[in-house]
Amino acid sequence: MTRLPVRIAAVMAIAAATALAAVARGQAGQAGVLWLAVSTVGPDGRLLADLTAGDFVVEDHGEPQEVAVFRNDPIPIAVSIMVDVSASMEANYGLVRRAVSALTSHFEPGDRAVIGAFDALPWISPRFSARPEVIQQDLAVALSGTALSGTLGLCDGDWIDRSSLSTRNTGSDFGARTEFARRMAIHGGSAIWDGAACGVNAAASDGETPRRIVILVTDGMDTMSFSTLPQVVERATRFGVMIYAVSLMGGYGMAGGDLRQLAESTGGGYFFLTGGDDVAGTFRRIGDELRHQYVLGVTPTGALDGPHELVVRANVPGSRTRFRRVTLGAPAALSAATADARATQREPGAPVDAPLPASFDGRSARPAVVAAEAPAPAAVRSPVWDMLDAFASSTWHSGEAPRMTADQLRGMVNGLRQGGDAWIAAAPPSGRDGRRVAAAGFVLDLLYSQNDPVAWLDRQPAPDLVDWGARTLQAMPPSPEERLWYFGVLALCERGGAASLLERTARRAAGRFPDEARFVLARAIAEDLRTWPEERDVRAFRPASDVTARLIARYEEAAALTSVAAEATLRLAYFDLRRGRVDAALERFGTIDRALVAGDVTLRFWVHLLNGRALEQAGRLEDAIESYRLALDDVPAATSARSALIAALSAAGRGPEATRLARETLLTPGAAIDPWTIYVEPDMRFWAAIADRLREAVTR
Amino acid sequence: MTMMPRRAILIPLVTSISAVVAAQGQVFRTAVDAVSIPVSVTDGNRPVAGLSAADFEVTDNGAIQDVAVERVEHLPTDITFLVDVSGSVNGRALERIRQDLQEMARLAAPNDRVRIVTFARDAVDLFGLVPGGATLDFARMAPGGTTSFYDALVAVLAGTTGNGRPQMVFALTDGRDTSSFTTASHVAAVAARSGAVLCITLVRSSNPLVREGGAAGTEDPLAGERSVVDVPASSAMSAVAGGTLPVISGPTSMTLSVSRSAGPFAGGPALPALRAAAAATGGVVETDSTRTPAPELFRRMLDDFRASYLITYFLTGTERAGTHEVSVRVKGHPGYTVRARRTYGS
Repeated sequence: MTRLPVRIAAVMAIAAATALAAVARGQAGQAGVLWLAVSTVGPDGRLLADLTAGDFVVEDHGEPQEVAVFRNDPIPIAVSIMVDVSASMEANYGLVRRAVSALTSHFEPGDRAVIGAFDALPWISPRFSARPEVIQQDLAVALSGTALSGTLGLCDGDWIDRSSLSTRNTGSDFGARTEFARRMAIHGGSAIWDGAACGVNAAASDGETPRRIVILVTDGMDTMSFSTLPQVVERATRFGVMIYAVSLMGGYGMAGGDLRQLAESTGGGYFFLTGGDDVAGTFRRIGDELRHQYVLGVTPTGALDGPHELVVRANVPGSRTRFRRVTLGAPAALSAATADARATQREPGAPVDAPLPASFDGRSARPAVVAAEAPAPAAVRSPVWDMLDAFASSTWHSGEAPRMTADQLRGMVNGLRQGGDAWIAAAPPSGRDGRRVAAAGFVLDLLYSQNDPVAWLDRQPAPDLVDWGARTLQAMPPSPEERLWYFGVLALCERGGAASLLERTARRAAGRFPDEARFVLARAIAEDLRTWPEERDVRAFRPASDVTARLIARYEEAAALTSVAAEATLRLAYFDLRRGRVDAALERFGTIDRALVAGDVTLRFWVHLLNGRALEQAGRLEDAIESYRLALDDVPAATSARSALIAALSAAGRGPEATRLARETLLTPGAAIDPWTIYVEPDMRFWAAIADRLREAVTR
Repeated sequence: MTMMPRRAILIPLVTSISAVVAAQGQVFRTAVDAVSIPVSVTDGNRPVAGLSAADFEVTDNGAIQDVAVERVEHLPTDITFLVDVSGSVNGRALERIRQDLQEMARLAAPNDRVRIVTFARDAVDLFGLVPGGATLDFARMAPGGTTSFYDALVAVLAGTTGNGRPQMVFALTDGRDTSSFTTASHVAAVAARSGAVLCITLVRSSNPLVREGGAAGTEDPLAGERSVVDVPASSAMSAVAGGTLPVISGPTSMTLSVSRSAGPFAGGPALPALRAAAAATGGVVETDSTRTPAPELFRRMLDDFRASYLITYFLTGTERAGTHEVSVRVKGHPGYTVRARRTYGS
């Protein structure tokens, strides 16, 4: 379209929407009109945009129906764009951004969209917007995984277990969790049907246009929805919402199956796209198709609300016609008054940024959750205050947090939610940021002090604790302390092999500190963690292809950032080596700027040790021996380098040297720290400094 | 053939005999290489005794060798116990390991020598070689840590070369390796050049109390292995190049406990690779899931080892340099199982 000045476009949008709504409401109310949204494609697959009422045949129970109303003028569309943000989708995020951009850049006056996302639960932006930049901003929030703390909120629906939320846990039983609460935190899995249902609800809330659509973008199969496919179809049918399902690469399990059924049952379309397909073009096509829908009004012979068996076809040979019965007005579950109020509040010329009804507003849907998190009145002293007071004092040392059972930790989460915010609020305004740092630091120490992080760090309640700490710090402007805190969490996630929490936390951290290269690297390390531990010598190393793709992409992204370039390149080189690409590994090792590793003894050691392994595998034994010796120069007596050197010397026929070193190895103590043993938890090497500095910040 | 003096015969693997005999003032030859190989012969599960040099046919790089044969049971032997103390073996379990080791040491003859090498992340020779039956000093035994079994094997096998006595390495482990940098392939390569016979007994758990179905509280430490790596706290921090984080630049007296479950690697024992490593030395890998006490497991291995022969020959018909392929068979008894090292190299 030719771009119109914003003001004119907005006025046109309102006029078009209002006119249609008025006509539709009027005719529907007067004559019991049954409305159909119809689109027809010709034999060549192209949309037929210039048909007339006479070109259509409408039958109900086999009986021809007269087309009483025919509209083919531009009618705005209201689109819920629901994006699967489970981990497997990440490789497709770029495509999704381009696709949404393609759709919204072709918006015509009155068109509007709302962004939603789903993983274990569905999330939704609180507003429709006609402005591409706003939509892209919401999409960025959705894809960043910070929905909970960003502008998206939890979508209201059956997936919320309200009974669990209203039940306060007390005493020893206060750690009991619910499935819903678990989903609130895991940010994994694909609740596709819940996402679709949320999109339907959002689209249906727009009572001003019959062209209400959900575009559902996913790459996989539903793994955990409360909703079912039939329920979604029923709801979409009831409110006249069409669903376009876009299955991206990786969604073979869905292709031709449930997603197609969902789309076709609701009159929408199904697209299965691979990386080579024109994803942006597909979205433009969806937009064009929607805009070129015809609206047909027929007066059925039977009752309007009775059963209908409708058939709509066009008298064009070889054409295919899709149609959907549409209902104007908000669904019963919504407040029509809200929609009307929203319309009347809009000022002429203002952008169409309509807030969703309260029940769809994540922030207003949150109260059920927030109720459990609401700060206690300042006068009520929570038991957690004593621990926070102690931590904030100079008497608490790192690692002193009590060791707790999982239930006790869950109780601590509740305690922090109920009393932590109040503890912060109890300080004078000038002291609250300090308390925020202390409270978050307390959470970090709590995580650090537990005996077995591996057993639970990637599972609840650890993610809840991290969430609470992060949200507490996000209440103040980004600070060096918050940055340190994130470093600490990342280190602990690596220590526990908690790839999902690491990935999520690193994304969140990057959102707060976009300039911090280490957070970029941490996301790559999260993928790396998914390839460890490795069953060495038992079977060949074959990481999943999607993990490999993400791992390489992220390491390469990090390698472009000077401060982490060496480590990213090193780790990528070793990944190449692990999967048998010796030459590629050697080439990468050769590109590492030694000056960049000069100040980090651990990094230097890794470079020499792992390069030695690559040289050894390339048959360059003498070079390997030299590289292992360099590693031992960095960290004398490191068992890993000693053993590697012994084996290489032996293989090179230098038996006496190997024997001498072997005997020395057995008789002298190993290095206090062998960097090889922390290769899979690299940020732990910073832990001491992180803990010290946070400690200083808290007691300052 | 003429039997060589015992001291010449006992040179394990390959050495230049001229230096040895010269030191004794008895020069029989000059610059001649002697090769000694422990050989086990069984008929089914039964060791075959009473064999002599005339019963063996030995080729080295295809060249038939004249050999001398001696029963190992007649020779003083060095025995290395390689013991897994990784994970959270402590308390009663640790005490039980000490008792087992002491009992195993007593199974050795007084003219044998024994040493204890424990391994977790690092391998530690606790006190060097001591006479069989001696009271052992476990003061240096420190349990806990990740499991670097392969690294330990590499060090032990590479460090065990000729000292004039048969060498046996007895490893008792569940075989899981979580943190070695070397691999089982490295172990096999080093084993092929080692002077030791590697005997491994794989058990369900390195915790003796677990193996024996011990009392409550004796959980398998490796079932949910948690290890401790001591990370030195930093007193002098230096900046990462281009970054903002301080890094550890040197150890101080303060340490932070960093626990981690499995190290980089997981999974059960790499049985084929371990068998290859043991076979390369003429040794064997056995598995035991019967909760048999460690001393009994060792006694069986020791009996088998002592029932073997030490074949020695002066290398003829082939050059010393390079890797040698060795073949040993018992003439007229194709049904016998002959276990001997297959290769050696300089």
